[in-house]
Amino acid sequence: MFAVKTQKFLLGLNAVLGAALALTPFVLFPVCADPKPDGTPMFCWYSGIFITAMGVVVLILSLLSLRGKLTAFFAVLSAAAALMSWLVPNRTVSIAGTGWACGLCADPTHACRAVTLPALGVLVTAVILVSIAVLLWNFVKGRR
Amino acid sequence: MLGLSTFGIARRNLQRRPWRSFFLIMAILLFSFFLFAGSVLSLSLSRGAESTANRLGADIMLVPEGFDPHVDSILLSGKPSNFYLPANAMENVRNLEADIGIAQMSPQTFLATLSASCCSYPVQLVGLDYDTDFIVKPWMENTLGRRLLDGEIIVGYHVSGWPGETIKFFGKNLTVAGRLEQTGMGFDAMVFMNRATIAMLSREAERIMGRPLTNDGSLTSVIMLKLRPGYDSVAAAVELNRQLNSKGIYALFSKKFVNSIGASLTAVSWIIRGGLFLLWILAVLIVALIFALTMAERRGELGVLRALGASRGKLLRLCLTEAFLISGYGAVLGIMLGGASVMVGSPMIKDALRLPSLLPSFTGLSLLALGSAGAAVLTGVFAAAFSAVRASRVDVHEMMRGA
Repeated sequence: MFAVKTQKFLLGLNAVLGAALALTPFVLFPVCADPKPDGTPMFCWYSGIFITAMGVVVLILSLLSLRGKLTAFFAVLSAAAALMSWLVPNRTVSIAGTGWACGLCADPTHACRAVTLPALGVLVTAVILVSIAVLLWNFVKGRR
Repeated sequence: MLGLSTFGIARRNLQRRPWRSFFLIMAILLFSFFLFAGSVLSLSLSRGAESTANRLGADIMLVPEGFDPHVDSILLSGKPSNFYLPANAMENVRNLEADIGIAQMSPQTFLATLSASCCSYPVQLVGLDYDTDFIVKPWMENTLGRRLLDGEIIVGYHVSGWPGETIKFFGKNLTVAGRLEQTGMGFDAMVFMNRATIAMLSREAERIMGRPLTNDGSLTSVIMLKLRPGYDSVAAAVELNRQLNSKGIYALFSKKFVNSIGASLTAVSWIIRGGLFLLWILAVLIVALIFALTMAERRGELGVLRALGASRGKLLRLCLTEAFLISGYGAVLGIMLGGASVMVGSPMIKDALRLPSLLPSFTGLSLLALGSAGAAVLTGVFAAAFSAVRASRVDVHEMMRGA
C-alpha cells in the first residue's frame, strides 16, 4: 500500500511540475512580451510555445501513468520532454522554419534569459529527477 | 507475471525489500552518473585544449601594450573588444624580421559591433588580411573552397546565420558565405571578413559613434607571427618586448596561453579522476556491506532453497543475478541522468572553468556511456561476489539452523 502511495505521490508531483512547466513561459515567468522591431515575434516567443507544449506532454504522461500501466515508459518520455524544453530554446537542438525559429534573446538582461531561463532550469531538473525516482521506485516496489 | 526462473526469483527478492534495493541502486546510480559525466567533462576539456592548440597556429601574437591579459578572454570566449596597435606597428616588426626569424606575419583587425536594438547583441568582427593570413584561412578555405569576397562574412558556430542569408552590422548588409565548425573557443562567437569589408565597417562605426576608433587611423589590432624552424618563440617574444614595448607593442607567445590552458586542464582532470576513484571505493564498500548483511539475514531462506534441491551454483547465480539487476538498472539510470546533466550543464561548466570545451561526437558519447555502464555493472557484481560465494558454500544444516 505504501509502495503504491509513494508511486502515486511521485506521479502526482510530476504532473504538478508539468503544469508549472506549461505555465512558465507565458504566466509564471513570462518571456519577452514585445515583438521585434519589424513586428514579428521574438525567438523566445516561439520557445515559449514549445516549452508550454512540453509541459502539457509531461502533465498528460504523468496522469496516464497513474493508471499503473507503462509507468516506466511514460517516465522516460516525461524526462525526455523536459530535457527538450531546455535544449530547444538554448539551440542545442534546433527547431526552425521559414521566418521563425526557437531560441532566446542574446541580451542577458532580457526577461527570457534573466527570468524564464533560471526557472526553466529548476523545473526541468526537478522533472528529470522525479522521473528517475519514478523509474527507480517502479523497479523496486513489486506488486504487494 | 514473474516466473520461478533465477531472474524471476531474483527480481522478487529485490522487490521484497524495496528500500534496501533502492539504496543499493542509488549507490550504483551515483557512481555511473559521476563516471559518465566526469569522463565526458574531462574529454570535452581535452578536445577543447587540443582544438585551441591546433587553431593557434601563430608562435607569437603582438597586441597593444596593456591588452595582453584580455587576449585570453577574447580567444576563449570571443568577448567583443576594440583595441588597436600603433599605425606603424607592421613597419616596426618588419625591421626586426631577420633578427627574430619571422617566417610569416599577418595583421588582424578586431571590431566589436553595437547593440542597436532589443534583438541585437555585440559580436566580435575579425578582419583578416587574406593574402598573408595563415591561421584562419586554411580552415576557412575548407569551409568555403574559395576566396572571401568583399561584403561576405564567415560566421562562427554559435553566431546566427546560414549561407545565403544577410546579417546587418553598422547598418550594412553582409552576406553569409559559410559557417565554421565548432572549435569550443572564442572563434565560435566571431564573424570573419576580409580587410576591405572591415575597413568599410570601421568607417561606418566611426560615423555612427561620432568619433574615430583610433587617433592615428590604425586598423591593426593584432599581428600574428610565425617563426622559422629553429627559432624559439619565448626568446623571440623577449627580444620583441625589449625592442617594441617603448612603442606600445607587447609580444605574447601563444605557447604561454596554450600551456596555461594545459596546466588548468591537468589540474581539473586530476580532481575529476581523484573524485571518481573515491566514489568507486565508496560504491564498492556500500554494495559489499549491504550484500554481506543481506546474505547473513537470508541464511534461512537460502537453506530452504538448498533443502529443496537448489545446488550451490544455483544459489550463486541467484545472488549474482540480484547484483546484476541492481547494478544494471542503477547504471542505466545513472547514464540517463549523466547525459541530461552534460547537455544542460556543459555550457555553464565551460564558463565557470574558463577553459575551452568541445563535446565529443555522438559515437564518442555512446562509447563513453557503454563503458561507464559496464564499469558500474562490474563494480556492483564484483562487490557482491564475495558475499554470494560465501553464502553458496555454507552447509545446508548450518543455514537451516540459522533460520
